[in-house]
Amino acid sequence: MQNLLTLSRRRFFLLLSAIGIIGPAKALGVAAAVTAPPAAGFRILGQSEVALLELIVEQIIPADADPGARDTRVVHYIDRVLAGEQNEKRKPYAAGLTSLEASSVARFGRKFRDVSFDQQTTLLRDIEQGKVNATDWTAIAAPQFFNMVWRHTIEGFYGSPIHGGNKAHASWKMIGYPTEH
Amino acid sequence: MKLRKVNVVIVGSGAGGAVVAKELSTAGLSVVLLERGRRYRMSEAHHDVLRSQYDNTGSLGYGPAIKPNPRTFRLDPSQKAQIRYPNQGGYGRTAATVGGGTTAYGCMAWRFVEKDFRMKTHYGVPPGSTLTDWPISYSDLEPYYTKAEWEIGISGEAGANPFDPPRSKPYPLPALPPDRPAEVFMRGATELNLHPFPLPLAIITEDYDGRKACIRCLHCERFQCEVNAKSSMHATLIPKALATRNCELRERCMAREIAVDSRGRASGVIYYGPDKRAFEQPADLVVVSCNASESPRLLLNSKSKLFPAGLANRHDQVGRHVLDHTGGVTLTGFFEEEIFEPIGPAFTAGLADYVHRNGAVLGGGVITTLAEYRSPVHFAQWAVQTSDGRRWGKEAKNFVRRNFSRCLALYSPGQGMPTENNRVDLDPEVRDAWGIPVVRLTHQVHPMDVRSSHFLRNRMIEILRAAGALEELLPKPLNEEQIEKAAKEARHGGIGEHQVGGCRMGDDPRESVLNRNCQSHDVDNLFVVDGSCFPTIGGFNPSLTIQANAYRVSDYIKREWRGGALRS
Repeated sequence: MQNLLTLSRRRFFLLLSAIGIIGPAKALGVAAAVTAPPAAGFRILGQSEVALLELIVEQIIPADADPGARDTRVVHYIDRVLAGEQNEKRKPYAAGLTSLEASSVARFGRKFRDVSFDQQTTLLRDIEQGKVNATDWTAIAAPQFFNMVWRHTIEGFYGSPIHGGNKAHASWKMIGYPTEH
Repeated sequence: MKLRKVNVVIVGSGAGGAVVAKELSTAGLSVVLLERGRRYRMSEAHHDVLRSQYDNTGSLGYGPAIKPNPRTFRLDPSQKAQIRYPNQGGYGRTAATVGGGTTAYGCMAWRFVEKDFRMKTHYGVPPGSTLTDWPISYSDLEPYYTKAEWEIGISGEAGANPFDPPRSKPYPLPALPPDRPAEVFMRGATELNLHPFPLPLAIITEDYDGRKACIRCLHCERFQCEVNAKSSMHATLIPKALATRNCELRERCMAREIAVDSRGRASGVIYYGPDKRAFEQPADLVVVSCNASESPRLLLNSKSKLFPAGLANRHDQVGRHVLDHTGGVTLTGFFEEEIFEPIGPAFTAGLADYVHRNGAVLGGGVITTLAEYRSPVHFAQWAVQTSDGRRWGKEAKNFVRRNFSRCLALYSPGQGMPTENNRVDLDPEVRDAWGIPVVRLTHQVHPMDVRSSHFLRNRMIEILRAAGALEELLPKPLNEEQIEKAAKEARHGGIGEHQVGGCRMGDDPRESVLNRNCQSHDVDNLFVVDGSCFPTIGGFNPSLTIQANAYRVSDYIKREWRGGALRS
């Protein structure tokens, strides 16, 4: 890894992929049925998925003096992506959320929303690193799921509001990036 | 459907094809310019980082479209290649639009130096590489560099770089004054007694040739210019070609193969139009300008009784020796002071002290400032350093908030080494949305690429440190022993926007595809004019050299043109 870290960003991405660290998020023939109607105001994500994703994205970018991912509508961004040009990731999302709940129950005996913020952090970290029971993650590998949500969260929070996230340019104001251009 | 014959059909409207189209149409030849992408009008300009050319977030701003355009990639010939799409690693993409890569590029407009054309003579051939000399020299290209700089519109300060090769004319436009990243960079470089200078850029800094000067917006690289101050091909030479009324641009046309007549000469190009209907465009001359991945692909897909292994491929050279700035490096320093300024362009200052003169490291390259992390999305994905290595959570957010405006990123296109097995050929199974066999890229870095990367990286660390970067966030340089270990263990590959090679020019037909005039050794009315003719890559971004060489080849074609009968 030391070696890779010296390479350019574009190259870095190329090489990581080339040696399989970042695989393409494949539609893995996921069995999980995606039948729930979309939540109000969403295009494709169901109510329970929205609620769970709000907790996850808030872990990735928590609110502090500045808004976090939940309040800047990052889940709306994800919803639009999954309903649109990356619809092949819709099923992996559903499968990953199901697996995440299974891991939460296995670890804490409770659903993700019912454990503490710090416990959520610990579990997500283990999911990121693949330190979870593989039998709970048969449809999508845990790190692959985490990477996918992480990438989308960064995009939704730091990208242009026209795609549904970064409400009121919150992140751009936070870092001094121009909102008029 | 067979169309009316023209003098020249050119495939690809980027840095190579646009120059040839302009030159030959101006000389009175009838030209059809085929482009697989479409033209983006000024009114379509935007600054959406989630739709830029480089951010790998779903779609690319200027193509190719993701799903219709797969390729495959592997590290070495023993492996089965895996499918890759344009927004994934291992793909080796270049933009697919009228103007090609010049539409969204960072505009660095370098001349190679004399030694870049004489790598074998200067260094010998490292084991496992196919390093060679060019069949032409810097002095052959110098008049055409000058012509390119003046016709396309390049700004810069002649004489500011003491390592510049001789030039017959200054730049037509003055360099921009330094921005804050340039000032910090120059401070560090000067401290080390290096020789920083303002970069030569394909950006007009004053009104020029009917175009308006740069407005210094923040969004130069990765987007089309909103005022056409960027000297992209779609803003400069293509309108000139069209104005001659001798050149017809056909957008969204995908070339399938080059047609050949019974005597083994190229007779035209077979392509699919926007509605996927097949057309044959007959021509006296065929010019292929699709760069290092797609030009070899088109030749290899042009199989016939006379050329069963593909066109211009008698000696199995098509697609070989493809390379990139695999020694390329970026490195970021973080500072106490605010550096971010919401202005452009993307790259502003550089130094050429490490172009050659690097002992056992072959080639080296320029080191420049880089606008890499002016995209908030990119910064948050790639620049974050936290105590526990996590890219998310409270500390990661703090890092972005504190450091987005306090970083200076540097870049160096270190020379990569060409090798026999690093090549483009056709995937035996995968086809694109038009049913055409796709590029299979086989590429793995040469140990020298790794040495070069680390050499340049260590120099960048020195520059950033001298400029006052925070030590605790600065990477540690590797010592000789660590570098050798990394070079030995390296097992990665891939090419990107700077890809060249694949249709080498040379004097020996057994070791090259093209002669010194970029004319096929095998087929005298077939030319390949883009980066794929490069025998080696130079330690510089390649576009101006592609353009200068295209002017040179155009002169040759005009000189030798006999109504289609060319002397080879």
